[in-house]
Amino acid sequence: MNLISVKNVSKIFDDRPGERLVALENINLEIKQGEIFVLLGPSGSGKSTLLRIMSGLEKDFKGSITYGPDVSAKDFGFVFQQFALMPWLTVEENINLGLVSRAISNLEKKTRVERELKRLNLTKFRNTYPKELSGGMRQRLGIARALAIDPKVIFMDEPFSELDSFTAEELRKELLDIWQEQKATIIQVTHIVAEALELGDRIAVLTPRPGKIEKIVENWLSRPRKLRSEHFFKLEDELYKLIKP
Amino acid sequence: MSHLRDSNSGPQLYESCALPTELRWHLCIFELSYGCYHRINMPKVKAGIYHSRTHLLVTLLFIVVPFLFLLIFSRLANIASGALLLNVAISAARLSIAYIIAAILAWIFAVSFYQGRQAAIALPIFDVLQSFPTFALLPLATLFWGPSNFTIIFFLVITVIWPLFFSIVSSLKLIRHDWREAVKIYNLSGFAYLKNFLWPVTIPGFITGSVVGLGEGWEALIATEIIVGMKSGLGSFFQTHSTNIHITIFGVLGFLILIFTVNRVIWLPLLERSHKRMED
Repeated sequence: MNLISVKNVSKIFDDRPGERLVALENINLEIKQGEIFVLLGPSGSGKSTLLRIMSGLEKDFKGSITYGPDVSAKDFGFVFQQFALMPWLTVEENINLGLVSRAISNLEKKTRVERELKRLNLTKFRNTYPKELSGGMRQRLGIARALAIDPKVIFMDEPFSELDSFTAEELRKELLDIWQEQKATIIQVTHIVAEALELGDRIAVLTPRPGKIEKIVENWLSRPRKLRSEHFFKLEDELYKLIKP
Repeated sequence: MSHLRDSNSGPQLYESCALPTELRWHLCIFELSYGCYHRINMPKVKAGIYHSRTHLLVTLLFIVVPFLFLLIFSRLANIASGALLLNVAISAARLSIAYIIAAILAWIFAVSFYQGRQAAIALPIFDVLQSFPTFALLPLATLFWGPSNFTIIFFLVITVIWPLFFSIVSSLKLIRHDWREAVKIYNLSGFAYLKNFLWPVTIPGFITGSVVGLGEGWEALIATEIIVGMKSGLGSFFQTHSTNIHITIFGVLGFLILIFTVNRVIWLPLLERSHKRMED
């Protein structure tokens, strides 16, 4: 069942006189319920722009985005590359930020915040401000905030690119555990091939200037994935061949 | 906001930004006022306004000292203590009322006009308006409204509003793009948006603007009270005793202590706290 359908989407940046940049050209894809769909490509391939269009953050584009019958914008969580945490709010308040405008009881809000604090191992930092947290903990908080709204779709814009490789690896494993438990659909942007292969069920390879989908690759590796297996390297080679810088 | 803590940052940081001159100036004050205070109080500092009990006691001393000064000065100058304190209170009340009106208006204008097409039209207009010498209008205003509290407060409002407005705009200009996106994706609206996002974002600019605005406000207050010929307030006090150099000097000293106290006790701790809260 398709959760999001992207049809003939194009995006042109022409805000400045004399400058015209075709960021995306004629993009078509379908996102299936419960899958991890990865947008992979080099800088300038429009993957973050496409993610923002799909999430409803970017409204100015050509083409159409259709959501499945049970999905609307309020079911979307978003994990940002640079965390986008509010520095004046504590960890607890940041998680609650996604809930404050929702028509749910205060008790329910509190229960969800507690659940995410526990799930992301943030309980002892509940009264801490983001600046006092490490990069890994900040992104944990970003993920907790997204999960607190019980999202049907989680959009992730290069969520591990600001982290060191060890922390990123640990967090990817935690994300997979959460995904298997939660079964939310995840749409993630990355420029790292190994990360796309570790996480993605399907990987859309985008090429730059203008941003186009070169190919959507089915990742047939079974989970948990062995990152040093022959099959992994074979798929990695295939993806590298498709990426044109 | 972390760049505000960077030793390499400074007024030149904003030179490349397409901002009105006034706005750049306020960004600099914003940064310098924080920087100076921060150097003085370099170590420790937790989330609260006061660092320790000693800090609180020293601060309280700053409140007691000016009042003692005013009382002793009144006795020495053979002025009824009540009369001097009453004049100080009247002037402070005029400034407080004007400040509250200016703060509300400045905040509303700032959040309404800081971005988009409105900003392109409104900011240059505001930039010109704030440069207008308001004292040029004083004779006309006195002609219409006479030497009244209304005249004084009106002039204080149009003096205090600009530093507040441009400082709040400078805070709003520093909103990160991904904060906006987070607000949008999580559908923050109405009071929740105001409480959790818009108000906290504007606090540093609001405080910086208050420090600058009230400084200018005190100056304008005394001048306006003297020019308009008010029968009460510090302006009237200085007017009455201007022939006595000793009383005038003591009066000016008392006045400076009062302003220093308000800044030290209220604004600077708030400024530090708000900047610390905005650190990312």
